[in-house]
Amino acid sequence: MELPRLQPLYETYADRGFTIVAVDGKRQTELATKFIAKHDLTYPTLENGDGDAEVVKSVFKVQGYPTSFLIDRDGRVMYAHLGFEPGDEEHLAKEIESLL
Amino acid sequence: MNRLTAVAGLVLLLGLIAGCSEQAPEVDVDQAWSDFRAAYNELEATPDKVELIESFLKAHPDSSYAGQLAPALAYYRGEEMDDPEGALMVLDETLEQNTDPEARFAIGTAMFPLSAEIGEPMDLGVIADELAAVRPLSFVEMIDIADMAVLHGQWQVGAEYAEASLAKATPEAFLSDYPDDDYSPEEAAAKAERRRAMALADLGWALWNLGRQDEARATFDEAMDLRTGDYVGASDTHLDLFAGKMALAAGDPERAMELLAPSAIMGGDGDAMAVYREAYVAEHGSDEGLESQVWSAREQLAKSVDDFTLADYDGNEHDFSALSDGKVTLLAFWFPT
Repeated sequence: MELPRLQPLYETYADRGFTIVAVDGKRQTELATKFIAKHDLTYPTLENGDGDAEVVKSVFKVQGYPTSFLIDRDGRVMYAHLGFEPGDEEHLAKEIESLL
Repeated sequence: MNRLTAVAGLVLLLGLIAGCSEQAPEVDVDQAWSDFRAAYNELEATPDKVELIESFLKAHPDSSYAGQLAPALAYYRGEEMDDPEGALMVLDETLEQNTDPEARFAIGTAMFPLSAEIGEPMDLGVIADELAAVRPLSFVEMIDIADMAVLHGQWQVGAEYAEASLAKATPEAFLSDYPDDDYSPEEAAAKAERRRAMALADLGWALWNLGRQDEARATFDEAMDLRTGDYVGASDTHLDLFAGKMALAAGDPERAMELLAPSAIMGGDGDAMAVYREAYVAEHGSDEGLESQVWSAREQLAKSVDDFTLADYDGNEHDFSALSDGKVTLLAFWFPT
């Protein structure tokens, strides 16, 4: 999955006002915590809510994983990204730099 | 690769890893499959996965499991290892020795995008008609064929299967496909409308290319009335892409860019972006200034992110607005496998 590949981006740009918030859409607590520890992920990782507290589908209309949104400093969603293919990191780094 | 295929590919792989299996008559094949799965789940590196998949396919090319493995091989060897010829060769040998219509359909549809990529597209009509002769195809199977056909210029097959899939774009047909799920009438109606929009988008673009332009325009008009968007407003079907292509083909690049912008610029749809670029060049003579136009379109289309509160794995609740406060933020939805 893509999360470990995001860690270097986080380390590169965190000082300059960039962060990552990862949300586990399927509430697989045990698997997720193991995965996060195994890959030394240091950015915030949250778990989707249950019932009325569910946000991934009801608010963000996520239909498949991974899906991510790049948000600017003013809280505006600048674009969505579906899937994660080789080479996407470079593209994402360029987009982040243009927003910083 | 377009976004819908990317997601479908992932879902297939995850289904495979989770281990959804079918019944097969041969006991030793079942044992081999269960050994395969145990070994497969231990692997992480792509070349190792490819090697294991290929050794199973070579040992059991005639099993139903070959159909389940074909999409994984197409993805790992064809895309991740960027070796479509190699993946095609193995799958072609498998197909030659396989007589199960279900598996042959799965192998053929996994092979098709690779064959198109190397410039020798297979005939989708042959792949689909073979299974359709044995049993009625599902909506998902028909729309997959229609999608692939229109993305790769097989207009007649595209029109035929898009039209056939329209018959299954009803709430009743949707519910009968998912008898165990608990959909409300409203949800079933919305799903049926989305099916209809998907089928009409494919049909419209196929009709346009078959020279039936008035019917194509009417088809797109109907599809646009059913258009639904994702969180950033991008179309959740190929509608923006094909409507934009039609506007460009009809000599209206400005309209094309307007139609393509949500999917190309906000939705990160690479196919839509390529057509957007074409339309920009048609309008301006070169791609000079494209990047700044993309940014200004983005400024116009961007909406404020919704705030939410969720817990971390220690049970502490966080407001998203506090975590992202004044920062450029990548909000990433995932699940562990």
